[in-house]
Amino acid sequence: MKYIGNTGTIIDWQSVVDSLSNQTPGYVGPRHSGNDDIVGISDVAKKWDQAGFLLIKDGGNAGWDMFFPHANFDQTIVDTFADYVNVDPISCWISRVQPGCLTPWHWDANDNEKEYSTIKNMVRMSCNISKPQVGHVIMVENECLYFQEQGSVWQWPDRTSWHGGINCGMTPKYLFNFFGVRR
Amino acid sequence: MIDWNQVLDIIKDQDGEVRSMGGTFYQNKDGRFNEIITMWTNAGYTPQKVEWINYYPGKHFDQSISDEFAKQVGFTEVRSWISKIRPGKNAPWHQDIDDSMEEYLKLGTLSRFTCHIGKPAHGQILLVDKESFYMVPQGTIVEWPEVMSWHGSSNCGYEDHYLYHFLGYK
Repeated sequence: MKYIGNTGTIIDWQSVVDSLSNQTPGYVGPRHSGNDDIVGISDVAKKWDQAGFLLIKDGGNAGWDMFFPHANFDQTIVDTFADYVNVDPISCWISRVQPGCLTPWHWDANDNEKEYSTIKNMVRMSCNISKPQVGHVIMVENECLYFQEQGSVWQWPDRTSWHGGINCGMTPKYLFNFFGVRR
Repeated sequence: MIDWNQVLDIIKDQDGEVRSMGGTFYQNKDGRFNEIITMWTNAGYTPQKVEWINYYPGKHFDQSISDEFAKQVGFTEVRSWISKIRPGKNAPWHQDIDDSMEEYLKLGTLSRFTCHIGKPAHGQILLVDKESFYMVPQGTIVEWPEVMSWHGSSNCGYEDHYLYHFLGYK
């Protein structure tokens, strides 16, 4: 992963996190099942089943909350971030992983996967928007990010990089996720 | 040198000793772990989320493994064990508050080591204080900052995560 910088001085991430703490998420992921006709989904779902993950909707701990601009946080956050990283946004969201929950190893197979795969200069980034907390980790391919400064931005190797996240800490873990086209 | 693959072959089909938040929690005879269990409960942990499985020398694998490890690190063994975290399970943030710690401290200067005995695998992580250990080469030994360092571990990968733990004194 490539370190881009820290957005903590231009975006008040703590206010964003605080405002989300009492909101109902847009949905609890994963949204798709292995039967959906989306590139890559059935492969990932099969791997999760074989490993024994139990989804939150089935009473387990594999899953995450999803928050979206306009509905859950202000679009100006996205615009400010996009200007900072010099990327025109295609999609973004904030994920929240509760203590004891996790996002099993996967890649973000998207509804528009066929369309996205044709777009050049696509970049994927994530921003650690919680304050540094013990137990909060995101893993992308062979690298992991732990105890990151609030506002730190990392560019992923690829939009479709395999990744996972865990939270063996005591507070919810928030992450701003973003991909778009390099300006 | 220790053939960790051989050790893993020996224990992989054994039940081991399951640890979680309830009655299967390790020791805690005098309630010294109650504060941490309360912390976990307040954070939303349930027995379904918390699990690690321990294997012990002389019971689940040969004592000679720990004897050899003691030689390698130059410490006398106090206790040792192998932990397994299955996919989807967590060892939430905690200290290892051993019921016999006071007795161990009388033996000498204690040190805590962890050896990454599985092959590197995505989604498997150990956290000790502010350090993370991910995709660590098999056989790598790390010494902890403190015997009682806070730590945690989770597994969002597809395979079981094995670590060998050693507490020793000089």
